[in-house]
Amino acid sequence: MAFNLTKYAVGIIGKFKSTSLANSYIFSPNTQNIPSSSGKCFSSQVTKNLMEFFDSEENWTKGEVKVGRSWKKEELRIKSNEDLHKLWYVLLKEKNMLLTMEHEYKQCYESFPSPERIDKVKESMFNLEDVVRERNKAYWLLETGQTGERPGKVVNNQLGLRYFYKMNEHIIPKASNNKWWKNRKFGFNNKECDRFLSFYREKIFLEKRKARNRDKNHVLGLLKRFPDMDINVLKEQYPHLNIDGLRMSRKSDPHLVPS
Amino acid sequence: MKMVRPQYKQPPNIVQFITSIQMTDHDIKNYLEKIYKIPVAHIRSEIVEGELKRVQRKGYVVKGDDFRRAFVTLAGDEKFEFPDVTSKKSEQEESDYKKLQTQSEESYKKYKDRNKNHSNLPGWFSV
Repeated sequence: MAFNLTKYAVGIIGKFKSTSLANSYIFSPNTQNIPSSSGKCFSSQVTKNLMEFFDSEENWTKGEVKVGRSWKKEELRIKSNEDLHKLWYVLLKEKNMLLTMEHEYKQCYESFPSPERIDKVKESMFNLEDVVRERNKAYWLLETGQTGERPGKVVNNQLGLRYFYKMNEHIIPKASNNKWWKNRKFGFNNKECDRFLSFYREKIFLEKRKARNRDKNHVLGLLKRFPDMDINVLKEQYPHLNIDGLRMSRKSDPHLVPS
Repeated sequence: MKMVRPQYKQPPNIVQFITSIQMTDHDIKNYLEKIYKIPVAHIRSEIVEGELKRVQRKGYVVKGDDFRRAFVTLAGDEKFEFPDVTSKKSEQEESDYKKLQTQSEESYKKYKDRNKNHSNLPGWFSV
């Protein structure tokens, strides 16, 4: 998953900044170049790079590592493409580090300190990708009039439930692509599916009806206890209920001593 | 992608990783060389099926996620030893626990000293 996202981000930002990012790698130029496999290099440097898969040593003994919150979309929107590109790789490395540490702690039957860090990094990456997609969409709409997103459609699966099918390119045309026709799992045409669907819809309907009845009884109780209530507020809060009808109901009569 | 401690003893220039199934050997090589600047000589990888486990007292079977296990040979004379991450933590935790124990013992001693002359009275009386 992470790899696919990476590819996507690189592809998009490459459109904007094709010159500056092509020759230099992701990070700032002061990092050392990759040593060629034949030539010798500093072993300490490679060990250092491999140790990027681990947390800093001072955090190994801690029971809790204090960190900030994840990146918000508003903050990411004001960053340049280059900054986002760099930040993506910082987050990617952080995620790999956290996954490595989590795995190692799990293997050694120890508790992993502050596991919420993984969620925070994942949320940041999700937000970053969303911001990049926004920019990509705007660029494509301006240049070509299309969004440039991967095309898709809503289809039925074999159970008759609808889902979003993401389309992809094929080398062989659809008509002669036997493998695709064999593997495609759209549509449903059997009795069991109909039976399942009727039960499924019944379940959804019952849930909805229960919720509606719950609201109705709640409103009746309110009218009973507070007869001078503001009716407009009730109507606003429960637009799906017939409040005037409920007011006429005998169940909403207030607890008053009959005169 | 995460680095894992090798299950069996490996030569010192081999590092073991777990990656997503979709990554090919070329992908892994490019990933390590371009993002982490690690010189790679050779990569061997395999897809590992997730473990099947029967849930206790429920009876049904649950399957873990599949993953790709990659053995990466470092180029040149590079060596890497998997660091000992957790041993210090358990020591630290032990010392913390001992500290707590001594603290509670001391406070109990103080409490007893305070209530020496208050026989047949509740503990909060001297506070």
